[in-house]
Amino acid sequence: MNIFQESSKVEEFLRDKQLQLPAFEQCSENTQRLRNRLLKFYQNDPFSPDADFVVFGSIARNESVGDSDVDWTLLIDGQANPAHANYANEIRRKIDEGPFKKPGTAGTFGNTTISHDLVHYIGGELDTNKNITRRMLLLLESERINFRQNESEDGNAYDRVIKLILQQYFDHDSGLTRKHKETIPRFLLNDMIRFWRTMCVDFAYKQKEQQGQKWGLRNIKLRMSRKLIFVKGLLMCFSQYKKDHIREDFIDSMGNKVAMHPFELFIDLKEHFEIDDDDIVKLLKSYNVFLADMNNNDTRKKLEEMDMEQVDSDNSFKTLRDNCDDFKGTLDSIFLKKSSKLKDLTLKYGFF
Amino acid sequence: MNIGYSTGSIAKGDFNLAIEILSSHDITAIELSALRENEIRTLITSLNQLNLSRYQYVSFHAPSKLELIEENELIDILQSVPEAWPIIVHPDIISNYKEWEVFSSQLCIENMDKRKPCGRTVRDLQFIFNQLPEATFCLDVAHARQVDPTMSQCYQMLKVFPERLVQIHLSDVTSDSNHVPLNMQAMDAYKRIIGNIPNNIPVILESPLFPGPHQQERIAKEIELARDLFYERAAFAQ
Repeated sequence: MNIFQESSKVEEFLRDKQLQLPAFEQCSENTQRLRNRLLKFYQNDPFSPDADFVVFGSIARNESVGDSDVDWTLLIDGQANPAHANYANEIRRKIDEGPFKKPGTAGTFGNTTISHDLVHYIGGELDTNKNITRRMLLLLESERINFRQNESEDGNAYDRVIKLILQQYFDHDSGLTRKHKETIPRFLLNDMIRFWRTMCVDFAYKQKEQQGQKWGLRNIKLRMSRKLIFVKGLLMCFSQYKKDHIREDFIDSMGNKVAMHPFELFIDLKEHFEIDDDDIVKLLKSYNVFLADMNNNDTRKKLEEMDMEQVDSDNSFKTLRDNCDDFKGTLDSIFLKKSSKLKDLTLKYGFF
Repeated sequence: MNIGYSTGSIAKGDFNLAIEILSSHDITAIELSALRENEIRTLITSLNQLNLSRYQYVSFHAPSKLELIEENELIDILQSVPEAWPIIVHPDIISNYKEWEVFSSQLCIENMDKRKPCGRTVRDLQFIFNQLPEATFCLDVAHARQVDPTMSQCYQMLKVFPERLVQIHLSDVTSDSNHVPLNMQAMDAYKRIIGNIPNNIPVILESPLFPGPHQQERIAKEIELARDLFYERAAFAQ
């Protein structure tokens, strides 16, 4: 079973390292089952090319566990049409009635998303928490549920909106458009960093609002899966380091990376960035431990029920936290300690 | 460069009238359109009688839907089109690629708008060209822009299929896939890619300007816009 799409590079890497990742495989199977259930919503594609059923989070990362949420939206890019609301209601009903865990109550998912806000409000007062979350997740962990299985994935609302967002990050990045020197897409990188810090700040906000409930689960997810998508954002931006950027090539290259799992991107770029294979193996092993814990109903339930006051005295949480520390240690080593092109870029663009 | 017009955009279902209307305009290319299948037989039987001597470039647009005639019947009919004229075909009418090989490079595949299930992107087109290795390419810039408003797909089409490119279709397309005349927004988008279109590639306008008040003036203006757009293409080269 391919755990990261159908990347031959990844398969080759895992074979070469004789690496077994049972939790990844289990989650991949869970995701495929979930995906198949979603595909049964409609026998034929009900949507015009102006709308797409898009999922985020663990499904898009191919990492669903037993009771993963279905974070979804009906993405609209086209003429206003009352039928869009009907479709969104229908999907919500199907999710409610099916064996699915509903999305959270914040309203970020589980309804329609209009492309205009995603494309036009990058920064400024109208770029709400919800808007930046939807926009960044589209780039970092999203998947279109393709009800036309035999047809191309390109040229639909999902594809168009991603390209338009990337175009905005190109057109309004003076470093890229003026073509003076070697650089990266700083506008996009800054938004990636902003999104990561927004997730971190929201973690503290929810801690206050929900009085520490579910603190354990949120903490571990923030330190593993949320951090991993930030890492994907960094790799995407740093991969564009060069002179004489061409807008269309940028959109094409970044668009192709949107569909890649963060580890797929790591393996794809390891030679380019001079990343040690051993460090990637360490990351994969830590992440496999995380997925195994998330996929274990007892552990997950315990984590969900664990509030902030309880974690320090709990041995199982300590084990999970140690794994998070290992994961962070390896990322520190890759991005900040060992000499490499990636370290140079991180130091040059990641902070000041 | 050759700039011309599609007869189907000037007088629906009446190619003779379209040719007559276009005769007063400064164009050197024409596309004979049989976009609706009920037009094709009449057009084919009239080909010998049409005076097209003023045109340096002529192409023929096959029907975009097949409801009244079968695919193999259409292939038979199209074999009467002079070999020098590219036959523009929407790839979604093709179900049996083998049968179309008879046209070799005369078969010219057009990229599609967002409603169509195939032929919309480089990847879609690559699949089609793998089935029809000799086929050439008609780039409809309006379709390409509708599918990808950033024009990156259009740019990639020009980069990936430069040897196949024989003709450009020029107009704008609305979000509900209707062709409309050129406008600033569309032209600004096209400026991003026209530097990559060789000077010898004919441009066929598909902006619908049917008989009515000021039709001739509007056609003349549309041709002028197209000419202006392509005139300074070197300035937009990437």
